[in-house]
Amino acid sequence: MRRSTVILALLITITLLGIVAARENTRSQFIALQEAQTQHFALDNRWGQLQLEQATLASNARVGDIARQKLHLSAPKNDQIVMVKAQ
Amino acid sequence: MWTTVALGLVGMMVQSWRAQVEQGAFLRNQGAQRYLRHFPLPVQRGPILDRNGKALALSVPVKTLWVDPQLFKNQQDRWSVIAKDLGISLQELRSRVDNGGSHFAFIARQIDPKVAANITALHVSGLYSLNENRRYYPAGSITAPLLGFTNIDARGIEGVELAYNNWLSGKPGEETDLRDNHGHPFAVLGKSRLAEPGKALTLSIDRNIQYVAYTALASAVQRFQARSGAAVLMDVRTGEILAMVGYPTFNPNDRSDYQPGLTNNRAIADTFEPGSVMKPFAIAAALDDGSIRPNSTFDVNTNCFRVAQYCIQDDVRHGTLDLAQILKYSSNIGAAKISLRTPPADLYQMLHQAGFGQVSGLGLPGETSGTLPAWQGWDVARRAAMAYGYGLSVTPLQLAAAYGAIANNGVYVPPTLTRRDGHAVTGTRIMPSDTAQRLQKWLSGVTQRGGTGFLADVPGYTVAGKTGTSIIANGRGGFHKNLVNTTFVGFAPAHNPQLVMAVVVRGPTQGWRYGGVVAAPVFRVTMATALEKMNIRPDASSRNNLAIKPFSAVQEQHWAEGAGDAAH
Repeated sequence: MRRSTVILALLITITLLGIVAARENTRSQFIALQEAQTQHFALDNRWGQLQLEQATLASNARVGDIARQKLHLSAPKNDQIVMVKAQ
Repeated sequence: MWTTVALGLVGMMVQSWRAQVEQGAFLRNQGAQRYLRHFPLPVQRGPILDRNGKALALSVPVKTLWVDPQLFKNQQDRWSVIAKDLGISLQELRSRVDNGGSHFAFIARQIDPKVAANITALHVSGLYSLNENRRYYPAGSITAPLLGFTNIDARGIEGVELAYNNWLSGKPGEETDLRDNHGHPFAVLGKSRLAEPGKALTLSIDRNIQYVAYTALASAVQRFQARSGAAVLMDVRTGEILAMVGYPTFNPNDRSDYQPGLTNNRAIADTFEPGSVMKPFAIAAALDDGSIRPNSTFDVNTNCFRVAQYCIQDDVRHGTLDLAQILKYSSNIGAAKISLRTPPADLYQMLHQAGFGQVSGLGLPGETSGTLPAWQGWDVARRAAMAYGYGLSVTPLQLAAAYGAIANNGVYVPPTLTRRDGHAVTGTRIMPSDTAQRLQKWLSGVTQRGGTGFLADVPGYTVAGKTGTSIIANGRGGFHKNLVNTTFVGFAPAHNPQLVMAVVVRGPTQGWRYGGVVAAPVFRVTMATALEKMNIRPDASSRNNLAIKPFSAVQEQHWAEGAGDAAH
């Protein structure tokens, strides 16, 4: 066998191993990507729910009802307001 | 024989040259189409916020389930479980599968991700899920006609959602995948283009003021059993609209009871003959061209002021009135006399510059211009009628913006729905500043003791404004017997105007149907909250307040119809 043939065979083996490694790498990266995307959707979803919850809890009608009925608050009448000068 | 082989070789070479070089790009592309799939990445629509950053419209992620009927139909033993999870009958599921294409059918659109996760966990072949976004409006019907809505594909089709669709939409991304025969991706090829989320839109609206305006308007429409109502509240200096409401309206979060008529933004789409609220502009036009003087007086002591074949009447007979009293008691005869002295071109010019008969430039879909006929066509009856608001039609927004010009010392500022953030405002002067200041003073008489708008008085503040009660035309050249539009337009504080508001209630059927009775209280409630929310300093003692003092019903009715305190 000639030397060049041996070198070529070696190079081919190395390349094949490289391909296997690259494939393996792609696969694991892809799995990581999918996991990240799933997580992204889950977080997005949670964020959306929290925004909705916040908007519902802070709705004018609800806050007004709680202030009036539970906390017995009322808007100050004009003679109860004291104006102060800002320095 | 060798010749045959050689010819064959040449043929092959020619053919492979064609395939590789001449048609290479085309064939590679065709191949890719058979095994590559381009998948859109969902894009989030930008939120709509109020002036303080509170959410008015949000996009929430949801899931959509679709099936490939050819694969899915082999899995009929799982269908009952899926239908149960979706909360639908088996027949319904079957019809959804059958109604789709041969390779694609939606079985559930925009559902709760938790429900979708339960179903995808069954790993039924031929069943896939998509990420989508659904629009949600926290303030519901309070902002519904203003914001409009989107269709199921997240494209704005009404209101602000349509007007700012490009700003809000963003760009969906795209990903190129290799997928197996079940549709599950096993590799991403090349670079995916990331989705560009839509930009947030900050409006000039204040959610709290909008809420108060809506509830006050809704309760007036219900209490007086009116057909509808609309109101606009605007910042005098900047033209920023702080509240824009209509009633009745729809629920943007549940469109199953969708009725087309309810989606109109009444504040910009409904036109009406304004009635007495136009009187200040007739006076301004007459003052500006010298037709009358600020101290002119008018004899209105008649039951019928005849103009052509028409009889102009006041609800209550007065003697001689000055300009302040013509506004305070809303005398039609006085206004008509003023207008007949004024060249029609000057009145037309005033009304045109104040924005009547043209769209405001707000940019919202569905805005109407109203009508302001050219002065060349006015006969003498029309000239008189223009002064007290008949013969032209306007929108509530136009009224608010035009009164904004009086409040802003004569400079008209075009209204806007986006926050100005201190950007310079370019206005147009429509009347000299001393005319505007006189009108401010005279109009503040309207909300005082004996004025038609006494119910608009806000405790702690001086208020200027004008009532309007106009009979609705029946479209056959005459008028409805009992159908009126009641209006109040005003601004506060009267001495240093900051906020202007127009309220229109169409077709009240209960109680006294006057602008000062039906529309003025909506103004009072909303303006009181708005002045406080915008940190505007009270400029009057609350002890003078009329609205909270009990008066006899007879007295109040007298005032509302313009009798004042005069003895009759």
